[in-house]
Amino acid sequence: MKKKVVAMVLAGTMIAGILSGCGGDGGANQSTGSQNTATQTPVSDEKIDVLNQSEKMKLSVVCLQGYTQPDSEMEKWMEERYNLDIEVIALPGWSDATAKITLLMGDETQRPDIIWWWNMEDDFTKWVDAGLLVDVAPYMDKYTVMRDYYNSIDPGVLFYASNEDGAMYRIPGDVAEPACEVLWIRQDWLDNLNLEVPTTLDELEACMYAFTNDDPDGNGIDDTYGLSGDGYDFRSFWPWIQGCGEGKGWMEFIKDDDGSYVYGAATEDCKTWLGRVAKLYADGVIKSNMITDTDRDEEMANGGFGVTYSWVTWNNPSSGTMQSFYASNPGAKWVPIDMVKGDNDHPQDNPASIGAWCYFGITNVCSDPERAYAIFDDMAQPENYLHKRFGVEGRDYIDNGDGSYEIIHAGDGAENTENNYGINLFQDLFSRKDACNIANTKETNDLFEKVKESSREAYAHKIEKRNPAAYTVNAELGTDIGDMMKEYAWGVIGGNKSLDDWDSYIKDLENAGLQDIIDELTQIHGAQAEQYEKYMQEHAN
Amino acid sequence: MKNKISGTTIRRSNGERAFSIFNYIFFTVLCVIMVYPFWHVVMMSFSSVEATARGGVFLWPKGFNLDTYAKVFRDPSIWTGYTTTLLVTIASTILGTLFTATTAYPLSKKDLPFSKTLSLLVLFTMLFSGGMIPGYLLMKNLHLIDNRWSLILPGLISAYNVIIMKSNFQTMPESLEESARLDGANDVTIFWKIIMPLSKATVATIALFTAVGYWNDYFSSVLYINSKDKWALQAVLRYMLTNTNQAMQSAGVTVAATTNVTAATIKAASVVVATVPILCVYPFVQKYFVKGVMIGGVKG
Repeated sequence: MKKKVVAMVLAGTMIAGILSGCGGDGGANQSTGSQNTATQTPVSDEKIDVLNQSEKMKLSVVCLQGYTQPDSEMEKWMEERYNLDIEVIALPGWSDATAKITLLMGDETQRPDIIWWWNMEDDFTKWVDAGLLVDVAPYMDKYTVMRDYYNSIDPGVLFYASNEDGAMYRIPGDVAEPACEVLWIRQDWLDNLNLEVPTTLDELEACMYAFTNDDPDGNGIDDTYGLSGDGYDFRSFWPWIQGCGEGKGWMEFIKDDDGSYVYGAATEDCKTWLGRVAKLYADGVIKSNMITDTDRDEEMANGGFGVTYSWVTWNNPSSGTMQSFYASNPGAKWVPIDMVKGDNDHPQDNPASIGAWCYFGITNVCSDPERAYAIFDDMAQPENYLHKRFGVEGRDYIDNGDGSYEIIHAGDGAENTENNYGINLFQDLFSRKDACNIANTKETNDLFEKVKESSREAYAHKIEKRNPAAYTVNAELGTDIGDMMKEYAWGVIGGNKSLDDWDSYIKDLENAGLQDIIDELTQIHGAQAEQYEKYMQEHAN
Repeated sequence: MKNKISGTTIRRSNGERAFSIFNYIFFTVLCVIMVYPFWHVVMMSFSSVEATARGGVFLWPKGFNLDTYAKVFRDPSIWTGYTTTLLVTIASTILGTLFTATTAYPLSKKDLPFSKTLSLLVLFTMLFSGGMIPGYLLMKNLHLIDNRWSLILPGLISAYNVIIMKSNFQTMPESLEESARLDGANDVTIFWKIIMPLSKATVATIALFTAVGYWNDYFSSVLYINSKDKWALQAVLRYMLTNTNQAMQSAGVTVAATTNVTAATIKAASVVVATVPILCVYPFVQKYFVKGVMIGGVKG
């Protein structure tokens, strides 16, 4: 009898243990269900003085890049300055970050005060619908540093961050420069082979053949290539994309000159550039691993090629990638050059999006959302931003007084982590690309300006979506069409597929619903274009 | 090629000899294929920037240096990762083995009431699990989020290990327990003084399985831990590998142009740093390992 009782208790415990895994589900529904609307206190006209707050506020902040070790000197500085108790929640790397963000937002007890995310449009819509995020639009009118900065770049930044009704549940975290890539070439190889800087696509290809076949480094070994860069990324072939035909062979949907929408990857221009690049690849001029998912920084650090289309910031002496490259190639010299002319005689650099690539928001668990916003706005002021991003003057950087700076501890240097300085804390929760970005030299700033100017014509074709979740047809069909395009295009470049099958490829795209996506774009994006015009008129100044 | 058995020799046919030669060659090649990738990473971690940039086969370090290790160990997250992983692995191995044995022992008894039902419940967890979200909610309801116990408790008892252990206990002659009882031993004494000492091989195997499983676990940190200083070593390593530039910067590459370090060597050294400690455990349990696995394999 005693044994039976023990066994029953044991069995009961085990069943309870198994079922307990499901038991919490109700709790989750309960917690989510109780938050259908964000509770937002009406905003008074009086500003909060964030530097003189008697009540200590808890502030948990989610971040991925930048400094993430807890209890850093910078964190303590912020805690003291704003009377905060900061908890840094570091996301576990790019691949698992979205899962972690979803879990954090789904659980009211773990939800952070400040959430950071990227590329989670559907989730963002759900968070807003469930009232998990606070509308910061009223705060933006009171605390204007971030707003003014974004408007100084382009009022469109805040247009893409806001809702149609003007509410703003997300603050742009980082906005790229209007164009941030440039054509790079090995000047030392040009000199060794007595070649001129190429100005046309044909000349560029001729240089690449010479770099591949004529031993530009003079080591007597056939170990050099013409082109390399980010693998499995069409941006690496931008000189051909912009130079072939009318330059509309983008591997995405674009807006044509007449206002209609086309799929760049289905244009004759695309067919032309694919053919040229495929020939270069077949001739061994392009590094073979470019059709695999290689990292451009690693490729550059390893070297062995003479042309690439990549980051403008590599022009900075503090660029870690270039430092790694020059450490193992002491006599080498990479130089940025003007975009080469193609068939259309309108060389263009690759335009970046005006919309932010990442956002942060204040959640409904934040005890004082206005104070939280005001703190981030104060941190966005040039002097505070400089301190947070680059550390202490004299110790971490030197101001030469002539507008130039010398970075001693760039970003997250070894001294930063060893001493727990915390330089570059909350990197992507507001990032300035103006004069406050002292990592950029004057030459780099000029280069940014140049590629910006040389990318505006191309930008006119770029499609940016204010609310990607509204494009339901694209959500249903777009992935398949994108996969078809990638399979075919990379197949052609790698030599596994033929351009002779182009018509069949186009037919497959059409059968997959290409026209439906274009129709949806015409309808929704067309309306958005009108809203954009109106918004720009209102906010142009 | 002659085998000596009890002082006599057996002549092997040509076919048998050819088969043996083939086996030696095949398994040597297989061994090289499996060992070389790890060897390559180890050697690369000790090599110079120029050599790693050139690539190729690394049988020995090219341009030997320890700069990469110096940089990796300057990253405080490696040390906090080690602390968490060691704590979690040691605690989980001890507790996991103990709870596995104490769960398996009663289940191995034929006279246990509802033994089939209980065994079925254990087996059920091998086939079905609550999944990620219920697991997370359970940890949350236990208030273990951002607590190192959340890295230990969820995988403490594995149904697979319970079955191996149960099979081992079932091989014990019942007469052993009967004689112990005649000498006045109770269930606890029998379990600790007779059964467990006779199960060293299985216990060592289960301990090794558990230790390796916990050492390699990174996803629990992703799910349950918010503070970076509580991440397990594998989560730190994954963060470093998937955020190469960040890792390079953390290791000081950006500020030292002449440093003998690249992303490739940082990755290699990180892999070595995270893998070698657990590899060191194997020699100590190897003598039990094969025997322990065989018990599970044959009887399970």
